[in-house]
Amino acid sequence: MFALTGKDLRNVWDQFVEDECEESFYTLYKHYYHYLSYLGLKKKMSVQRVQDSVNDVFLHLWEKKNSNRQIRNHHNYIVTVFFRKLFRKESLHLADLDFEEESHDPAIHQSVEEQHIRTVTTNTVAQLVQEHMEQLGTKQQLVIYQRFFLDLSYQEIADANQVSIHTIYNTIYKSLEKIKNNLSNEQEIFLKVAVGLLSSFLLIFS
Amino acid sequence: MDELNLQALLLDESFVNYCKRTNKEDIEKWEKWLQKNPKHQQSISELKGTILAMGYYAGEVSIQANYERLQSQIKKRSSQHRFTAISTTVWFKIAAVLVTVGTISLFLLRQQSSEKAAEIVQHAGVPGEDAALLTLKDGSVISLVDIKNGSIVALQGGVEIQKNKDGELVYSAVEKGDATTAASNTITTNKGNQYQVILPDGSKAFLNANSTLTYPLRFLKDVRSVRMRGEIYFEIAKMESGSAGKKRRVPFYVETENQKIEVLGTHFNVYAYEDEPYTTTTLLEGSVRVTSKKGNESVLLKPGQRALLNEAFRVEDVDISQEVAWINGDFVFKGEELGSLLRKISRWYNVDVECPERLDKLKFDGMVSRSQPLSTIIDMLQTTGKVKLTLNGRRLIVID
Repeated sequence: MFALTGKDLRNVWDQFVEDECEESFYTLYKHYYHYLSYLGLKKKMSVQRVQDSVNDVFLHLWEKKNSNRQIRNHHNYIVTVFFRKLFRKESLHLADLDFEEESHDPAIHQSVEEQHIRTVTTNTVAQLVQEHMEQLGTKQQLVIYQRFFLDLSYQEIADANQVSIHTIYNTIYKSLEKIKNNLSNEQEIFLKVAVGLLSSFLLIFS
Repeated sequence: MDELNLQALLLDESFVNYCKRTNKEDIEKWEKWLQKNPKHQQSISELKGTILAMGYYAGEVSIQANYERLQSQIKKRSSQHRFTAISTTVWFKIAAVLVTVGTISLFLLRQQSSEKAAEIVQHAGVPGEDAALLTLKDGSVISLVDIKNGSIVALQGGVEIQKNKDGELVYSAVEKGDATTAASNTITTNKGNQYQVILPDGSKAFLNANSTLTYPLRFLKDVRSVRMRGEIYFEIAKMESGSAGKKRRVPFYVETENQKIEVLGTHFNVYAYEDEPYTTTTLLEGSVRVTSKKGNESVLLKPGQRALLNEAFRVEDVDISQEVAWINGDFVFKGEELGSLLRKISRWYNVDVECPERLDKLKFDGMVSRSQPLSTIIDMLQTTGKVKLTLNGRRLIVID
């Protein structure tokens, strides 16, 4: 579900347009949530505004379901609508932005590795971390997402959240330390086995 | 290094790039490093797995929260196109994450709405600024905000007081003076002000709003002593006295109404307002001994700990980043009680707060820059749906 390449994505899009099916809508949302967040935050927009704009795009897609058939390049369409919402300019074209396809699309780029995490460690590392993630606050999780998933720099995250770089750095450090400490001894044994598995898996694939 | 230094690893962006496999050179760099340091292989790969999984799950949570929001937006717009639930288990997980025990999360930095709110309140609720009053030994008072950066404030007893280019107040001896003079200076910040001062021994003190620090113009040779109230973050310079071979560290004492702190050279924060239930001493580096004046009880703090004093001491581990976020210009609240949060706001935005006692214990999470107007925080608190706030001139009124 996560590792969508161009062709898969096209299929999901077609399915959404044909059947107006919610499952494919959700799949598209998941994929573009990462990508659009990355683009928006790179443009130094606030987190709230980026999230609102992503939702506006999908609200638009859902409501205009009937006219979606006419869209030839769904990817460019989604990105264009997103930037229009983000900058609140209805007449904006991608050309005006001198927008270049980000070579570092986190959703595509990380898909291989992330899928390994999911498949290899479904019952171990990931699950342990997942259990403990709930102990972090909403804001802490958001910052972790921006650093460890979207690969934004500390400075970019500080700009997006409008706090100092120290606070961002401290928040990430404290969150990681907390998660690490929380993995109890018993669980750590699990983790070692799992990470062992994971690294051998990565060796095969790299 | 036997223990991995987590802090240093995280600061190095190339390490995160290695974990994420986003940069070829960084991957090679860290793989080489691991070959040279094979004993760390285990812990590094554990760390890597943790970092990847944390990023992934934090992303999932963010997606779910926003997708849920999207669903309710869609629902609102059209009742006939209602979604069916995607997967009940997923929603249970989201619910579990969102309803973190008794804590209400603030959805921060709602720019659009805060802009609107700012138009209405305009003058009241502007954030604080760097300003303070300096009382000299002769009792004369100087407003430091009126003095240009880089100029001399005063010259007293052979000690020059300057406001440096960063706006900090700096003391430096220009002639050898009589160390026994007991003349002292007092620096005071009002509500809505903060100020940094570099003391005669090179130690730094950063005063938060509504705080006072009194210190001698020249410290004695074998002991340094200051008095304070309010909140001050200290970075104490190490000092030695005596001749070679027989040197001893010169202790530094910070006295508040209820306690005395003894330090040798270290970083710590003291939170000692009259309207707070506790006097709180938080240690970042080094070591300090805190002694209560009433019971003469004393505790020794380790970095990452804080001592809370009312009747007796209570020592606990704390999240430093939250305790001293104000130094970096931010408010960071984690499970902070509304009463305590409002007292901090009242000092920084110079407002009087009215809040029914029954709401005092409500807990909030959040993170916001101190340079934001008060309206941003009001907006954040209201988004939780737990409280309503109105700003009426300089009065902030809280209702259910």
